Amino acid sequence: MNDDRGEMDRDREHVSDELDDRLLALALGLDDDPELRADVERSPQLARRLKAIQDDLVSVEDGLQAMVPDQPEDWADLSHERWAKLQPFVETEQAARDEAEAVAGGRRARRAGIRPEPARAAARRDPRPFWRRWQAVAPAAIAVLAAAVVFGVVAGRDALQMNDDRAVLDSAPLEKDATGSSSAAEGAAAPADAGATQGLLVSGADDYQTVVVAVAGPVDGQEQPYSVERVLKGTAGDTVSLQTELDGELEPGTRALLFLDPRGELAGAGEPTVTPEGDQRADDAADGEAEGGGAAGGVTLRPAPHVYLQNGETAVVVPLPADFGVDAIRLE
Amino acid sequence: MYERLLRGQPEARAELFRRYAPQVRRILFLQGYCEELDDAVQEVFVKVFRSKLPAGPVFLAWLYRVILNTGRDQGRRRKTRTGLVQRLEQVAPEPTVSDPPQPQEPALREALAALTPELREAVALRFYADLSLEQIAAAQDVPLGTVKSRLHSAMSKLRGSLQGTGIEGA
Repeated sequence: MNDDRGEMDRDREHVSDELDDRLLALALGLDDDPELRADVERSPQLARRLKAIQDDLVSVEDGLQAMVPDQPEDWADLSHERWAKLQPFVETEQAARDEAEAVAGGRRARRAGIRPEPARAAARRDPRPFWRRWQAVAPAAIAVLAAAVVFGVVAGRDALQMNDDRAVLDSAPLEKDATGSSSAAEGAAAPADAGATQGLLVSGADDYQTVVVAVAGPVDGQEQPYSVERVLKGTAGDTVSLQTELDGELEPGTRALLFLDPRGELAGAGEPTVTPEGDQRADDAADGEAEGGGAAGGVTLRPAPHVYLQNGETAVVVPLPADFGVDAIRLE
Repeated sequence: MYERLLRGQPEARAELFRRYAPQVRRILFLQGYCEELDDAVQEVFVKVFRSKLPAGPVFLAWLYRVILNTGRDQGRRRKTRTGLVQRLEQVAPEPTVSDPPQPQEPALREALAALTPELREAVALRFYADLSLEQIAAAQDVPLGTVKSRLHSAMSKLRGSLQGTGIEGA
């Protein structure tokens, strides 16, 4: 060993830096260098030097590999909660059935204006009966509907430039909602006076523990922060962060009503648990509510209400018109 | 698998993850920016699954660009990042009685931390992802000669860290 070491030291003295660089490039496979290869074959001294460099590289590579912290055996197990954000993309249960449904589902989704998000695909696999799934998503629709209705009343009361067209208000949401929630239908059927309509809002908001008015901020990764302006119900910090996986983001600067912390059937639903039919109903209902609200008070609820995720629960965000008075919103 | 990925098959996505996640983790680690490696790995694959995939021949290069860019974004996002050397020291397993001494590690860590990000990325792609020189060039979006130069320079410096430890050329 000592003889070898001494021999290498002597070799090193005789190998110029330039030649050493060429040997390193050869060892790394960066250059073929046939001339150097031939020299190495002829010279035992060069061959030893090349071998020493190769051994150094092996040591470096071993050191690099050893630096990476160990990972648990089940690290790549996609069912682990550390991969929660990936799970909607890789759920394989009943994937074959999904494939078969893809064409029909896509057609229905396009008709309903639904983007083919993975979470929605996962929702299609929800094994619960349809009525159960609709029951879960209905409170979101109710809240959206309630918000849409109250815009007209409050705006009318505050003499904003809105047209109070109750005939449309009575019909549009009801027609849409008839496929879904009876409570929503009851609520929508009672806008005869401001008190009743406002009561409807309270009823819709009852399904959420927190309701705030907030302004959308720029998306960071999959999170969109909302700066809270008013807490209408429950408690909230200065900022609410929502995950954009389902419906995407709203334009930064958009003021919106945020329905957070669902309870009852919505709690634990995690994502909109609806079938394509359910999706269509839900979106139809939301569209109807938006249109109804617009007709009711001259307020246009575009873009349509967004569904976000927050801590695994759904959160409904209803964009407000730019000139809408925040102080006119009441939850009493 | 690529064709199945294009169709958005969940099984293909899971397969892609299982095949590449470990090396994604190593590459992100060696880039030295990530506070939370698992979050960064997850971010890479969410980006991939949400993206419109590029054509097959350039898919891998694109995938590695996503990895590198995610690491760089994390670096930009976390301006208060601690030094790579410190973190390496934090995560390095405690030596046990049965472990032989590894005198090369501190010097190698320091040498690695002293490399520019571009050199570290080239090393990561070569030794963690086992990419060819051409693939590294595509992933880093630089000419082949630049990759050779980067790897040569990086390995020369890392190899230099072994000098004086008594283990070089062992």
